Amino acid sequence: MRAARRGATGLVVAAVIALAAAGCGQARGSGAQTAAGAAPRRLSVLAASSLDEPFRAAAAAFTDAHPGVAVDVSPAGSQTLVTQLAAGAPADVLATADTESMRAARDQGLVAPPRIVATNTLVVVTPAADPAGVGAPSDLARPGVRLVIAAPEVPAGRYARAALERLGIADAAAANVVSEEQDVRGVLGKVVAGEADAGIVYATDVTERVADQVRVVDLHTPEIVASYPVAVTRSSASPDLAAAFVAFLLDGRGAELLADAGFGPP
Amino acid sequence: MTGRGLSTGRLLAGLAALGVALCLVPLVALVARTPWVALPGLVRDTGAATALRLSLVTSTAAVAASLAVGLPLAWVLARVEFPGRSLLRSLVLLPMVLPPVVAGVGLLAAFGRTGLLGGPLAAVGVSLPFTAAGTTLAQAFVAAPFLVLALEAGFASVDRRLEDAAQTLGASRWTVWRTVILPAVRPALLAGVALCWARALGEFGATVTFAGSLRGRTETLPLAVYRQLQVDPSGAVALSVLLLAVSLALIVGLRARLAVPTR
Repeated sequence: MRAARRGATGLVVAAVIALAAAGCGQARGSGAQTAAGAAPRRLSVLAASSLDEPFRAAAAAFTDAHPGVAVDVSPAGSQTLVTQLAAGAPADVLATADTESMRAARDQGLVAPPRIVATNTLVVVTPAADPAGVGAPSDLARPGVRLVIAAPEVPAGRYARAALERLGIADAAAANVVSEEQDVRGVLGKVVAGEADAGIVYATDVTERVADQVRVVDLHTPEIVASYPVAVTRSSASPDLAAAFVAFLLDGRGAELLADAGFGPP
Repeated sequence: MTGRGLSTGRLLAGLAALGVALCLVPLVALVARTPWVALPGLVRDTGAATALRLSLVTSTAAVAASLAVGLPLAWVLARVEFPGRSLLRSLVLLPMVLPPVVAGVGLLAAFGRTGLLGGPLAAVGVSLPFTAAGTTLAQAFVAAPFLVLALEAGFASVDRRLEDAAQTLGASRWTVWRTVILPAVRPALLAGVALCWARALGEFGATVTFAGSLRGRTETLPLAVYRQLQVDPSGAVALSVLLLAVSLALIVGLRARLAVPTR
């Protein structure tokens, strides 16, 4: 009986040691991934979710231009990114889809002065089959149309509300909203899945990947323009490299990739 | 020998203390961070009352639905011999270990507008995504296994001789259920209900994936906490403390009830 109990204790101790060892091993492994000799350099970029694809392309191009530098792009709603940064998320660059979120980061002393790298406009998307018959923006106000937009805290949600206001259908469209998503890609997802009749997203969100799954309806609000400020974080361990990445987006290959993805010039 | 026993004892006690700390430190930190003076205002401004009401209504409905199908299911699993029973048991418990967001994707594939059953349902005018009913379904899907698991163990431990004796004495099937089986599984039933309820109350991933999130309609308290965290962390802390209090009340209330009849 006692022997058995001691055996069990030994097992617990062994398990704890094994876990601790595994933890150490992992930590050591991730640091030593890059080529021998050169110090591994990593840039972490927090990007508004609408920037996901062009930023990942820009990250790959940046790595080509700067061998030995890996760039991680982590997409989320701009307001989420600022919260993450404020909570101490390790990041070198912050890119938001509006100046308000960036100002919030500035006010908290989280980032250096930002530069606008791109602009964007809004469109209405419906599932390819268009179950509710949305032919014009005014159809968003027709009772029974299931509309999905981003939450008011999200830049895309704020722009969408401004656009509906401009069209004079804010109240009727608000009554049709069935879900508020935490980032613009959540809106697109609900439309692609066919659960929503319509959603309001950025023009650039309709990428090649989803182009045949959705129908685009012009929102006719060219005056509602999203601008994308990008800034180096105050907590960055490699601010020079981070600044180089921002410059790469402003007038390097990164700027070309943003234009290719349909973003407007700053 | 005794010295060695003592040191292993100490080691175990130390590890146990670490376990307690792991459970309690985040909760203590949450309470310590709570802006108590501003709390009433924060709770009011964040729309917490609406979210709480919705959470209570949907989770209660989810428990009721889980009971309606889970009780018979637990009985079948515990008492009826049939081929494939252990396979069925594993399948029924699967939602418990499934990542909730996967559960949500599965629910969309089944009950979404273009889903397997969603199309026929829509034809008769029933649409679950983006409704409180959808929220309830998602909660029941992930929470019901907790009830089934507890009840199955309860049914399996009922002394069959007592049932036989009651039947020999002329009791009807219903009387046996009422006087022998139900009192015997009562502790298991209450424990199962508590776990099922708490899980439904805290459900996030499956709910937001399947039913979306809209204030006043499908935004439950956990979804409100997440939204609030994006804009105002102190508001999120206030909502979290509210959810913590409700969960605590649930566990304490049911534990107290649990203890009385068994003593």
